[in-house]
Formats: sequence, C-alpha cells, structure tokens
Amino acid sequence: MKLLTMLNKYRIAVVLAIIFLLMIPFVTMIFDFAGTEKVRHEKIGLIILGDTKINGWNSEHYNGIKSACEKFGLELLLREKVRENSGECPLAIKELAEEGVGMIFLASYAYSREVKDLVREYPNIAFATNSAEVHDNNLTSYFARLYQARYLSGALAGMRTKSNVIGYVAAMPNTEVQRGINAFTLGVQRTNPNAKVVVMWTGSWQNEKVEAEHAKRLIKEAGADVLTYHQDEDATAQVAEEFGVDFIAYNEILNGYSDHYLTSVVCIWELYYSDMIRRYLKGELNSIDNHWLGIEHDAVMLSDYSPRVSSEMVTELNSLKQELKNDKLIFSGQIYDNKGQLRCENGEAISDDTLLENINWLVKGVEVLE
Amino acid sequence: MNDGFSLNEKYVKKVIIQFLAVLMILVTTGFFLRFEVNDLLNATLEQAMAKQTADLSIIAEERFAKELAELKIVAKYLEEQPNMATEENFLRILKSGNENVSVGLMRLDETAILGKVISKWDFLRFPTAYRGNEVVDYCNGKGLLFAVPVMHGGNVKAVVYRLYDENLLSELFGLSEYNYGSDVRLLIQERNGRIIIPYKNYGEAEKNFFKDEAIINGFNAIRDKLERNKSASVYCKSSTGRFFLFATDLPQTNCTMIGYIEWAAVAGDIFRIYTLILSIGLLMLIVLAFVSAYLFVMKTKAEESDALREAKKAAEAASNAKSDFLANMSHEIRTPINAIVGMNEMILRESQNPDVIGYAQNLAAASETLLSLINDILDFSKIESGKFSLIEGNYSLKDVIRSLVTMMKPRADKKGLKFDLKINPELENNLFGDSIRIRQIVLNFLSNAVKYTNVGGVELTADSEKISDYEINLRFTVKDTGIGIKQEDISRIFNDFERFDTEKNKNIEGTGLGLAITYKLVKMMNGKIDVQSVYGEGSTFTVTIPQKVIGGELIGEFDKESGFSHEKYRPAFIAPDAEILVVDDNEMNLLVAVNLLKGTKIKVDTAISGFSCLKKLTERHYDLIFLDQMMPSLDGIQTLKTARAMDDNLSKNIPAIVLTANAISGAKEMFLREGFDDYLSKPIDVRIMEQMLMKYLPAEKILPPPDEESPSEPTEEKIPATDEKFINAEMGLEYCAGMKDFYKEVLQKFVELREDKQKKLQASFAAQDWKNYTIQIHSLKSTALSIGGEKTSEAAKKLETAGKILTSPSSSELEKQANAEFINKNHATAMKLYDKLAEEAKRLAETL
Repeated sequence: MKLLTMLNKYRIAVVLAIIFLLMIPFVTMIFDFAGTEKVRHEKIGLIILGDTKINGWNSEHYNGIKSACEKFGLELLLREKVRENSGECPLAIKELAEEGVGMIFLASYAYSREVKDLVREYPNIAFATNSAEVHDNNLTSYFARLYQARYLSGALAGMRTKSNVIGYVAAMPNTEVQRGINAFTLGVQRTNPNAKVVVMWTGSWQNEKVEAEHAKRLIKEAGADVLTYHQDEDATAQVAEEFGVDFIAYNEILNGYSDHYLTSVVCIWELYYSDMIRRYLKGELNSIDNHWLGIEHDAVMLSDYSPRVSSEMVTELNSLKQELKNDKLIFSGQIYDNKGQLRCENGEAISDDTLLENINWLVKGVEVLE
Repeated sequence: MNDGFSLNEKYVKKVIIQFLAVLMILVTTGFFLRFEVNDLLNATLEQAMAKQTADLSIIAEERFAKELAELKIVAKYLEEQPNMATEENFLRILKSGNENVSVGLMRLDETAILGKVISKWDFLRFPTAYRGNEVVDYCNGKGLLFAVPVMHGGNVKAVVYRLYDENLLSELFGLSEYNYGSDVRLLIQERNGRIIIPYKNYGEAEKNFFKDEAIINGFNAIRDKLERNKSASVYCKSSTGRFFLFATDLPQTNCTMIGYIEWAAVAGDIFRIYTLILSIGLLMLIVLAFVSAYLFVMKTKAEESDALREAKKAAEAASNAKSDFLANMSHEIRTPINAIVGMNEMILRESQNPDVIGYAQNLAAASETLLSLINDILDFSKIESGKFSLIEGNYSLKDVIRSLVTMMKPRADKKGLKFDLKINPELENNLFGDSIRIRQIVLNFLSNAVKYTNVGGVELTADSEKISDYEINLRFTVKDTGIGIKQEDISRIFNDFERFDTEKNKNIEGTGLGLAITYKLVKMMNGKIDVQSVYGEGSTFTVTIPQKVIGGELIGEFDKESGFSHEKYRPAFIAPDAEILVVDDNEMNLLVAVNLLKGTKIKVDTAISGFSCLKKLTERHYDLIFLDQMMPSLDGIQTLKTARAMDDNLSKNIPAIVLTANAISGAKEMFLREGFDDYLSKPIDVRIMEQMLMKYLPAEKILPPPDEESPSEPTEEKIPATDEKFINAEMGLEYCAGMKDFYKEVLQKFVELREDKQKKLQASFAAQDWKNYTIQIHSLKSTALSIGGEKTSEAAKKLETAGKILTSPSSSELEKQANAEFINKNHATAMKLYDKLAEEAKRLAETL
C-alpha cells in the first residue's frame, strides 16, 4: 500500500523513468553507429637536421610543412636537430610512432638510408623522404625539380660573370648535389659557353667554417666572381658579401641583405608538402613511385631578381623559364661528362629515374677544386 | 454520486492530458531519432559508397596497369631490338585490328617514327613520357592515351603509345560491370568538371539531373571531400529524388570517375531499420499505454480505497455520534425517570392510603417499563456498535428462574393468565455463563407471551441436554396461547424494529427491539432460537444455549412460591453513626437520594456541584461519597481527582461511588480506572444502594434494622441444645437486602471464618481473657445475626453482656464472679450452636 502510494506520488517520475529506460537502447544504438566512424591519423611528424629557427633549408621546410598541416587541420610534431647517422633519427621515429603520427617526413638526405629497415616495422605509417636513393612500400621519395631553377640560375651566372669562373660550394658528391651542379653548369653554358664552374666539396650540409673557407678559396684561388652554393645555411653568401662578389643564394630569399645578391634558388615547400599530404590523405602516396613537382607547377623558381640583374637578363631568363614550362628537357640531347664520357645521345633524354637516383658524374665544364 | 462522477471525469481528463503529453514527447523523440538515424545511416552509407567507389578506382587502375604493362613489353622489346620491322610488327599486334585504336612511336622531338603524331597540346601529360614516365592521359574528342617510354640505358629514346577512341571508353573503364548494374549512372569527368565519358544512354533527363542545384552542390561537396580522400560519396536530395553521388580520382590521370545512384537502391535493405524503430516505438507506446493504464487503475484503486476509508470513518463517526446520542439521551431520560421512580418510592413508603399506593404501584410498573425500553435501546446500540460484551460468571440457575417467576407471575396474574412452570428437577443448578443476559432472553419471551396473550396461559419449561460432563444445552421453552405469528412473518420477527399486525397490535407497547436483541444475544452465546406458531392459536419459543456446568448440584423440585411482593419497604440496615456525602447537580436527584436513605438513618449531606463538594470535604469527615459524573464545569472524575489530591481533605481515602445515568458498557471499567470504588447507575435502585453502603461503610457503623415487632426477649437462660432450625434464612436474606448472592457470600464467609474465630474464642476462653472474649463474642453475635442465625446470635449476645459486665471496671466482684460463671457454663453450648449454625450455613450456601 505504501509502495502504491509512493508509486502514485511519483507517477510522472516513474513514467519518465520507464521512458528513459526504454530509450537507453536507442541512445546506445546511436552511439554505436556514431562509433563506427573511423578515426584518421591526424598527426604528421617531421624529422629535420638543423634548427628550424635559423634561416635556410630547415626553416623553409618547417614553415612549408607547417602551412600545409594548418591547411588540412593536422597536428605537426617536430623533431629538430636530429643528426644524421647518429641513431637519433630511429629514436625520433619511435617516439613519433608512439605519439600516433600517421605520416613522417624524413627531411634530410641521409636519414632514409639510416632508417631503411626501421621503416618496414611501421607499415601503417607513411614515410616520405627527400632522398630518392631508398624506396619501400611505405617510403615515398619526394623532391622538387630544383635543378630547373639551378639551370636558370646558371644561365644568370653565365650572364653575370666577367672572369668566366663561377664558384660552387657544395656539400658532397651525391645524386642530388651533382644533378644541381650539372643543371647549373648546363644553364651557364646556355648563356656563356666559355664560362666554367669550379666546385669545392665541404663534405657536410652544415659547416660554416669550411663553407666560408671554401668560398674564400674559390674567390681567391679560382678567381670566381659569381658564387653559389648547395648547403643548408648561407656561410657562402656572407663571404661573397664580404668580398664584394655576386652570389646566388639557395633556399632563402636574401633581398636587401647585400648589394651582391642576385637571386635565390627556391622551392615553394608549402605547395610541395600540401601535395604530399593530400596524397597521403587520399591513400595514393605509395601508388606513384616518384613525385616530382617542377617549374611547370610553380613549385620551384628563382626568387625575385635583385636590381643587379638587368632587364635584358630578366627577359632572357623569362624566356628560358617559358621553355622549361613548355616541357623543355634540360638533360636531353648530346651530353658529355667532365671525363669525356657520353651521358646522353642526340634524340635522347635522361630519364627521371636516372636523375633521381643515379647521377654520379659531373657535366663537361665543371672543375673540382680540391 | 454526482460529485464522484465529475471528480472521476476530471481525473480521466488529467490522465488523458498527461498521456498525450508523454505521447507527444515520445513522438517528438521518435522524430528526432528518425532524423538522427536517417543522418547516421546516410553518413554510414556515404562511407560505404565511398569505399565502393574507391574500388572502382582500383578497378580502373588495374585496367590502366594492364594497358601499360602491354605497352611496356613492347617498349622493352623495342629497346632491345631497335629495327623498323619489329616495330611495325609489334605495333600491329598492339592495334589488334581495331579501327578505334591507334598506336604509334614518337621521337623526343615530337615527330612520329610510326603512327600519327600525338600533340602535347592535346595530351598535356604526354611529355612526361619523355622524362621516362608512364602516362595515361585523356583528351576530350581524341580519346584516352597510354604512353610508355622506350629506353636506351638510363635515357629515353622514344615513346610508344596506344590511343583509344572515345566510344570505346565506357567498356575500357569497366563501367558496365559496376556492381549496382542498371541502377547506377557512371561517367568520367575531368577534374575541372567537364563531363567527358557518359554512360551509354546519356539523355536529356540526365542533363537536367546535373543542372539541379542540389546536385551541383552535392558534387561541389564531393570535390571538397576528394581534396583529402581517395573517394567520396554524398547523400543528396534533389527535385528528382534522393540520390547518392559518388566520385573517385582515377590514378595517374587528370580524370575523376563520378556517378550517382538512387537512394533506394543502396539503402533499401538497410533502411528497414526504420521499420525496426517504428516497431520498437510502437512497442514503447504499448508499454507506455500499459504502464499508464496500470498506474491509472492503481491510482483509482488507491483513491477508491481512500474514499472507502473516509466513508468508513464517516460511518464510524456517525455511529459514534449515534452511540453518544443514545448515551446522552439515556442520561437525559433516566434523570427524570430517576426523579419519578424516587418520588414514587417515597409515595409507596410513606402513603397510608391504599388508593394512592395502588396508583404509585402502577406508576412504578410504568416507570419500570419505560426503563426497560431505554435499556433495550441501550443494549441495541451497544450490540450495534460492537461495544457489547458478555459478562460471564458462576451463577445459580434456580435464582435466575426464581427471579423470572418473580417478575412475570404478577404480570400474568394481573391479566388473569395461568402461569405454569415446568422445571426439570434434574437440571444442573450451578452453571457458568452470563446469567443476566440469559434472564433477559427468557424474560423477553415471557414478556411477549404475556403481552400477546389475552386468554389462556403462559408456560415456561426449563430443561437441559447433556453435551459433555462439563457442558449442557440449556433449553427454555415459552409457550403461550396468544395471537400467534403468521407463517410468513416468522422469519422476520428477529429483524430490527419489526412489529407485525401493527393495526392489531397498535396498543401494545415496546420498541420492537426486544426480539432483535434477544436474537443477537443468543447468537453471541452460540445458542439458537426455534419458533413454532399457529396464527391465532399461540406460539412456542424455544431457546437453546450451551452453558458450562460447575459442580453437580441439581435444581431439585422448584419452589413455586414467589418471594417478591410489594411489601412495605424496610431498610436493610441502619447506620445512625455513618455520615455520607451525595453530590449531584440536580436537586431532585439529591432529594431522592436523601429520602431513599431516610430509613437507614444515615446522615446524608449533599452538595450541588463539584466545587461545593470539595469545600464540604475540607469541613467534615464522611464515611463515603456518592459522586454524580455529569456535572457542569467540574465533573465527577475531575472532582474525585482534585479531592484525592487535596491536602486539607478530611476524607481523603474514603470510598467513592460514581452515580451515573451513562449506562454504556465499558463505563464501569472506565470509572474504576479513574479511581472510583464502585459504580451505581441511575435511577437509583435503593436495594443496590443499600448493599453498596453495607459493603463500603465501616462495618462497626452498620447496625441491624430495628424490628417492627420488637425482638423477643431472652426468656430462657438455657439455650436449647438441639433445635431443628438454626438459621432464619428470610431474615438473613433481608440483611442482605434480599440479595441471595450477597447472602450466599456472607454465609460462605461465615463458614470460612468460623474455624479461625472459634479458635480465637476458645483461646480467649481458656486464658480467661474476658476482654478479647467479649470483643470476639460480640463479633459472633453480629455476624451470626447477619446470616439469620438468631439463636446463635442470641446466645452470643448473652455471653457478650456477661463479658461486658465482667470486664467493666464499675462492676462489683460479685457481679464479675457471677458473670464469669455464666460464661463458663454457657460457652460450650454457644460453641455448639456456632457449629450447628456454621453447618447449616454451609448447607444453605450450597443450596442458594
């Protein structure tokens, strides 16, 4: 009776409670449905050699990938100052994997070799590297056809040099660097068949002291009056400024820094990384072996020319650029290396595969200063 | 009734409103759920569609790969066997005779070695082949191109291609093999949105379909999704119906495959979940309805039981009010009757005029009738209210019958009716039960018999039937030669308030309750009543009541002598030293009380209220107090409590007897609980009152009443040793105000105390302790007299006188000696008389 009275008293509550109870399966059902939606990996990892706060290769890449991640609403996890061949890179990969990244950019050339085996242990993580020397199912090479900009910058250097000696401070003789030197040299030869390119190897991507020394030697010993470089930072540019020698920068725009600055070989990394991440999100990353964006996509270019570059030169450079955009192949037709070996016959073109993986020679017209 | 109905209606309304509210909530929830589930399902289907679309992309990719693989084989062969003949052969094989397929070999300078020239302006991706990459490219109007470089070492030497004409494309992409068959519409478009490959029957309707704004928005959404997904699907509701739009990028090309399918074709089965939800919703509704109905019924029940409880309460209150009313009425009626009876008693006592006495006797009879009517009503109300209870005890059947005879004989005599008694002498005399009610039952039958019989007589038969050694069925039969009862009325005579032949019997007094009460009393005693009647000839009422038997005494031959007559009143005792207080707010009652006690010579003081009572108690000592209960401002109980608590009360612990006309059962117990010593109901029965006075007044103040014929002088010194009769029972009974029970008790007490008293007497006698002897012999004198032992009392009196002289300091030695000698000489005889008296008292007590 008491229970009944109570039941009566809280009748509405009881009815509501019953409705609530009846609704539980519905709610659970809805949540069950909602739960079936797959959660995607929303984190991107970046492993890079230097300090991303210092201008140059590292900051350009970092900023590019950061913009791309923001565009897609992804989180970027950074591991910087990770030295090559030191065991730091595998450690960084493990850390990032534990943090749940879906994709890792290995943004220094030698990383891919070092972690070749480790990559296989993370089949669910898409790796991307700027070195084309190593491939795997989940390791995609990415690079821009920077050599196209090198070619144009070579054309500019050929037009600028008076001494017909152009100095080139380069890190090491690998495919990437030699491809750049070759394209540069072909560019020089396009505008100035008499000029030669003198290369000095520093043996490292980042070594300010050696770079500066080499730059001075190229000016003093080789008599170069235009300098360019293939290093992560800009020690060469500082020497050129110091000695009043024209220079073409790499990967950073130095307008206003020096009167002797001509232009810079740049890559729009944001564009590049956006493309990569889109492909990653679409699941296409490993279905295309190489993905090489070039000047036709405005992914690589020469930055705005300094006042030192005359309008005639600009016109010339623009027409060369248009050629490239119209699918002119730089490495086509008859090409000899500096040892006299024929690398490309008439009517042929060096394939992308070779350019990416297998340039172990320097084109005719290149000298190496030891 | 009307109220109840409207209340119900209101309640039903409320319930319906509540039910509708809940229903609405449920329906709203249902709608919400439906949309939720709809969205959810569509989202899920979108995902599923997107995945399926991705498969399309993979299928296309495989097709492309197969194409490219064929070309690659050719390219490889050409690389290894660079001569025109081989080239032509292979190209022919590639063309496989199809006119819609063109094949060729291009130089890097964009001239053809074989086949037609492919312009890079038509096929924008074609130059990639010169860089050593495989190419799939589409040009609107030209067809789909597959191109593979012919290598020379690491360098590209030429490009071999195969171009499919547009009308082959849907076959090539395997569009017709798509799972959904005819439901689906597939087409390929460039990523800039231009539709390039329609399905076969692409007509006006489809063109309109793509013009629909909702569809355009849908495809825009798909394009956004494709930004970061391999494939995408969107649910779209257009003017032409509901569709799923889907798209996937074709690998290595600038093309997207898009399509749409009717919503129903995809969702058809899955959306049966709607039915499920509907069923569950319906189920919920049913459950809700049941729960509501259940609660409704429960609530109604609860309310009904509430109503019932309240009705019961009201009925009980009404019944209580009725009881109270009856009790009050009985009080109100009894008070004047009290005065009438009392005054009439005065007349009977004091009048010498036989006419007046005759009137007064009639008046007494009428008063008695009136009183009995009131008692009937009271009994009835008690039985009705369940307050009635039997008061069982040991009794003598003989006494009951005798009192019945005493009551009825005069009435029968008065009507000139014969009154016959047939008492079985084998009847057990000592029984256990409610004698008062048994008497009432039989009395009722007898009264009726006398009442309704005009000629002939009434016969009372008493008999029994043995049930066991300890129980009998006591049977009374009352037979009359009266008017009788009609057969059809017999079953109704025990109904409340029923009277028959009202016309004929209108001059007959009575409430009509008598038989109803009788019937109920018999039922309470587990007895039964049997009625035989012949209308106009007479009736026979037989009542059978089970009673317990106490002792084996039989009733014996019944002495038909009636002991009751309207003799002149004689007080049972006198107590000239006693002083009592009677408190009543009614002066008439006070007057009655004072006059009733006149004969006892008790000094009666009166008080008109509780307050004056309290005042009087502080002024003087009383031996006893009669206290009326119903008094204004300070009632009997309050007065008693205050009096008992007062320090200056001179009569603090004296017996207090409540006077009340409130004769409801249970009242006596209540008054005893409240501190009264006894209970006397009004109108006052003088005999009961005297009995109480004898009981509660100090024994030494009670004296035997003076005989009108002066008591016989002691004529002889010698008390006859043997006398046949030692007890004057009539006298003893009179001392007990005619109450046999009381008399019996006194007799028994006398027998009981004899041994002890005799011992003491003998002891005092032996020790020549005349002082104690005198006191003890005095006690014997009065106690013997109180049971009617005249001779013994006489003997004791003489001894007492002697003892008094002996112990008196004023007596001379000679006197003392003479009296001592008298005592010594007569003591033994007195003791013998004592023994005989006790023996006879014992016998008498047993027969009473």
